[in-house]
Amino acid sequence: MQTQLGNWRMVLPAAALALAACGGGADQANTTTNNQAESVQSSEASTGPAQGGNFVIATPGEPITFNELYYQDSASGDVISMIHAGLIYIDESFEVQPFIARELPTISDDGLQWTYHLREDVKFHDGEQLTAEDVVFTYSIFNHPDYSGPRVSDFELLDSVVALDPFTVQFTLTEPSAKFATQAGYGILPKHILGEVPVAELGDYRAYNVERPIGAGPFKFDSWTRGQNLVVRAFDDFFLGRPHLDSITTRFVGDQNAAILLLQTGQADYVIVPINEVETVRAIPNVQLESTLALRYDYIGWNMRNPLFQDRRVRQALTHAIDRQEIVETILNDNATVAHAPVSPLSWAYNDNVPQFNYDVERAKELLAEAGWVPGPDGILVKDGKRFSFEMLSNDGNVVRRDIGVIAQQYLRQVGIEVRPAQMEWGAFIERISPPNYNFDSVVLAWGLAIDPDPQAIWHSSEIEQGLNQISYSNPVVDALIDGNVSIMDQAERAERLGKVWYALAEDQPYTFLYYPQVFAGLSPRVNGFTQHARVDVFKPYQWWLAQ
Amino acid sequence: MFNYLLRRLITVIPILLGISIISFAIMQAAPGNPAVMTMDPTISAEARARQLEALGLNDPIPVQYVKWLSGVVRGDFGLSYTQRRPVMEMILERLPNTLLLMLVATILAMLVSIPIGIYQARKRGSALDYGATVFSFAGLAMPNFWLAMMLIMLLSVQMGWFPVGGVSTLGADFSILDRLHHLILPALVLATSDMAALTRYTRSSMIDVLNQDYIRTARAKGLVERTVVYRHGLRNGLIPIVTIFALMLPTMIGGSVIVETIFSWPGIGRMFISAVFERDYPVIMAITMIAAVLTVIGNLIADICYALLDPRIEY
Amino acid sequence: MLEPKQYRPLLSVNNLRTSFFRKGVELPVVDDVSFEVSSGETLAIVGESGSGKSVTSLSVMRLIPSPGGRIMGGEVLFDGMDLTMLPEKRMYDVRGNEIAMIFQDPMSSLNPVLTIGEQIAESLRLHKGLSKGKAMHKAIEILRTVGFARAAEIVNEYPHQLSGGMRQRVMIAMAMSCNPKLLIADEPTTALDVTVQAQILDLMQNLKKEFNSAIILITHDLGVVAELADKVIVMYAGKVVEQASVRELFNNPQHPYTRGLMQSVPKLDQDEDRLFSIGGNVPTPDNFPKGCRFCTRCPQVMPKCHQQQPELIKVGDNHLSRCFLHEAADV
Repeated sequence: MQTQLGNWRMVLPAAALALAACGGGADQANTTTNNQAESVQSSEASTGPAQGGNFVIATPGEPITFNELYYQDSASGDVISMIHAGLIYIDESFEVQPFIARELPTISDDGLQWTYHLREDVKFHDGEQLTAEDVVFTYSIFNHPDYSGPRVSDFELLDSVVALDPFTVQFTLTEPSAKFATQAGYGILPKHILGEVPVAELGDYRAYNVERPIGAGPFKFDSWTRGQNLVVRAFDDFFLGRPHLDSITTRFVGDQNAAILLLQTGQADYVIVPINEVETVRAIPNVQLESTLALRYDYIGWNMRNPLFQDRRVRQALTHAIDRQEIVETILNDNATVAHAPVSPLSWAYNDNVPQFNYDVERAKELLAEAGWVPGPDGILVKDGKRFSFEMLSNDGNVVRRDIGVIAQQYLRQVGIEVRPAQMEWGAFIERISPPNYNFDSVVLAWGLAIDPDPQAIWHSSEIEQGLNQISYSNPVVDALIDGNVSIMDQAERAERLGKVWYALAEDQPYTFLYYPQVFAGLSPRVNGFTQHARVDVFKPYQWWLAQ
Repeated sequence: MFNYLLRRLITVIPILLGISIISFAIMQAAPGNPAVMTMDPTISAEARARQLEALGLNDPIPVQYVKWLSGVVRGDFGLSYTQRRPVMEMILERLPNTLLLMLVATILAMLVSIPIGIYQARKRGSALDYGATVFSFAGLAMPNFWLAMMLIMLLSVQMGWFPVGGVSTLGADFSILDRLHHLILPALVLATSDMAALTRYTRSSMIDVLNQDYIRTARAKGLVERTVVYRHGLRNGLIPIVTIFALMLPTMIGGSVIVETIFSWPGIGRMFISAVFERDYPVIMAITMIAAVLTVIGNLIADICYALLDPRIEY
Repeated sequence: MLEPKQYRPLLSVNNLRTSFFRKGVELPVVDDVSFEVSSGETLAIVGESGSGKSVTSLSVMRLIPSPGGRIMGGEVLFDGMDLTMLPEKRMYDVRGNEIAMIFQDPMSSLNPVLTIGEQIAESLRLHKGLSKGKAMHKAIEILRTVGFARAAEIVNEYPHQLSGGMRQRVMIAMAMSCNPKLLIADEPTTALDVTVQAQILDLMQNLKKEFNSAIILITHDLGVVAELADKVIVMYAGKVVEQASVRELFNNPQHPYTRGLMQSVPKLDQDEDRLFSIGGNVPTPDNFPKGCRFCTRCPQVMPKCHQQQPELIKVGDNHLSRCFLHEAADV
């Protein structure tokens, strides 16, 4: 099982905003039995949180850097969540909440100026006060010509960032952007430590990034024994009060199975449970199994460069022919919901008023016939001398996708289509499907979504040549709808515009949208105060406490 | 002997060079490159291109090879693409763990297989001989990972006698006993398949030796059976065993990948697999070269041992 | 006539029976063998390969490999003790110490990875309790005795560095190191060149005189017998077929087999075109004829020979032969 760099799901880490003022109906699609904000209760909840203890997380991934401007992998992200703090954070309902900022920003009428007022009691781990200077310092790095990190294009719309006074920061954009609200969550870097370091060297500046990452978050970096464990300790002067826990130890294990074993023997308190191990963990006595809808959808992508898939009726037929509910029930044990649109039910932009193509073999056959396909001598459809036969690719080691390939093969056979499922090693797989190769017929994959629902990266035709629009989908109507959606500051209005995008995409079926999976966390019986978040594994660790 | 060693060491250099060239070429030929491994859209095409350039991956392959080689002769194996730190540092962190595991597994294998093999040779056809043979074949047939999982499930999870993995108990002070406690299961699994093979080799070698005339002479001299077997027999019987054994050493690196993963043992086996999946070229090359060096050394040790043990051999 | 002998023979083998077992079938390799040897005396055991002569000597030493073979019956009286009844622990004191044995092929009979000195000293340290230094010293002495001028260097050499003749001398040195009362030499010169042979035989003669040891000499070479032996027993297919003093045997062989052997030795003044050989082969233990073991090849075979086995019959002074011919002669 590959676990490094989150390569079984692709991650869009930019944050998105649901303007609280508009009372955005962020859809709570949590399906846990005990799913309030302070979700995990022990039977002695009335006595209040206990202080102290060492919380153990078991995970196969080992982090790389603790500078939020330079990380790409989720293991690093988890530790960053413990030791850093940003102006705002996105809560489990995907609403923006102030953190280091006292309150949500004031936005000018033209949407170009965002002013944040900072708390005055925020300290770095070394005791220094955090001021607007640090915020300015941090955000000036992104557009610096020497910045070599992965977020190079994130702040293209940022014109300037200045400190109006020691506790007030003002961002000026070149265009209004609803997305920007979600981007102000980066962990603030200490200017007094990094100010003198040339930006070109910042990415590899190990003295800070790896050895001594000073942040303003609830926990301080303590030690890292590579290959074994990493320890962070409670920061007494954390601006929301000292965390309940004394320390959090992240223990590095060989693979997911080893992590689950530790959970079983009581040596780990928190483990991410892959979907095919859910039943195993459920069977462990006393372990708490938390689940929530993941911010993600799984799909079968049809390569639009292949003549087989260029007729919309054919794509709709393909979706009709596959019983997605069956997939959810048998392969995923009902730990998912069938999807019809490329947006998560968790998002404020979710709109299920889209054409649905449910399991209907007859309708599938009708559509295929309409498109000119007739059954050939061996039962496989033929048109213009060409057989309807293609390959369905997925990555090696992923059992669920392998099974989906097999089920799709069976269903499509019923309507006279021949599918050849195949699996490949991840690196080779990526190379094949990415530009400039596009060497595939169809793929079984998934998108981990950003909090901001901007569909640009996946669906805009401009992303075909070098971006993530691997299936080469190009629809001028959709392009036009996507253009400028980010500038719509009014959430209801933007939701409406995006709703049209979902509708068009659902009608076009460039993907067969499969399902929205659940994400599962296994917790030991003594864990309390845990809030599960659909996008980040470590959320509000300062609220976690252990029953003694 | 000294001259012989010198000559051998000199021939080692072209061998290692050849291995490095072939490995480098194969590695580059594999599909995928370090920059595409994450499909992260916030990394713009421009950023990715910059990354490739910075890593030197746009240079023609021979140029990249020469750059790598010139670093290596200075002891610099470059920076890891994924971890952005010196490869040597990463390896030095993990190599001792793997070596320790290999050493203990080797000792364990020897301690078990040689006495059993000798016993089998002496009591050929006895119940224990057959029993040990069955055991040997079972050990050879058993997949590493299956045995590892079985042992963990039974001895660690059910009985709680052994830790589930890791090098030492979290947060506890350093203690040799604790380390050994963690070492036993992975070393056992790693040793098992070698144990099986070594037992067979020892058995047949000893059977061969015990049929020799000089054994009869030794008995005729009135030496007790134990002396005959161990002083006269074993010293001769060990010669082929020792050479096979020195050749087994490098294979342990490969076998340790599975064991290291299952037991969360932070060794270079696991590091190697991760590097391959991530296309972390500097790490891949460094570990490949280490394995090559160990193999060559293993061969050399085998030859030296052979010469030391058998006075008829002269270099 | 016979040399003067001690009042009590040193070694007295009576009705020794040793069998090997293959797939549950008993193969009587040594069948009812009896002989005596006294101190200072040399007994030669003569026969073709497969006659059981080596196994006889191994039986005396109790070196029959087990499982596979076993002494089935009879007694081996050595210096008053029955070796067949002795516990193994006591046998360790006998072997190499009171009875020593040297073998046919000196290259493979010496341990290739130990020095000459180590191998000789081993016996001394074991049986005589000598310290390492003293044992080495003694080893050098013994090597000189067997004719090595460079004894002090030889002790540090390995067997593969010596010639065949030298190695056999080492074997003898090793065997004689503890002054054994009895030396068993199994084909000691067979693997050596003729010239070297002579040296070894001389050596053995001298040592016999010096140590007054008894020697059992196993050989198929009648020339060697003539040179060294005092008395001879001839074995065929596991049985003693004739037994006499060496002079008596050579002057007056009685058993058809012995006669055949004598005739087979090529003589310089022979004027034949072809060398004489006894037709046929020695029967293997799983294929012994019902009657006399030699009946299938005997030129003087009678119908009776196929039915019954003859006993040893006295045909002269201390001369026995196992053949019906003599019986008939008596009658």
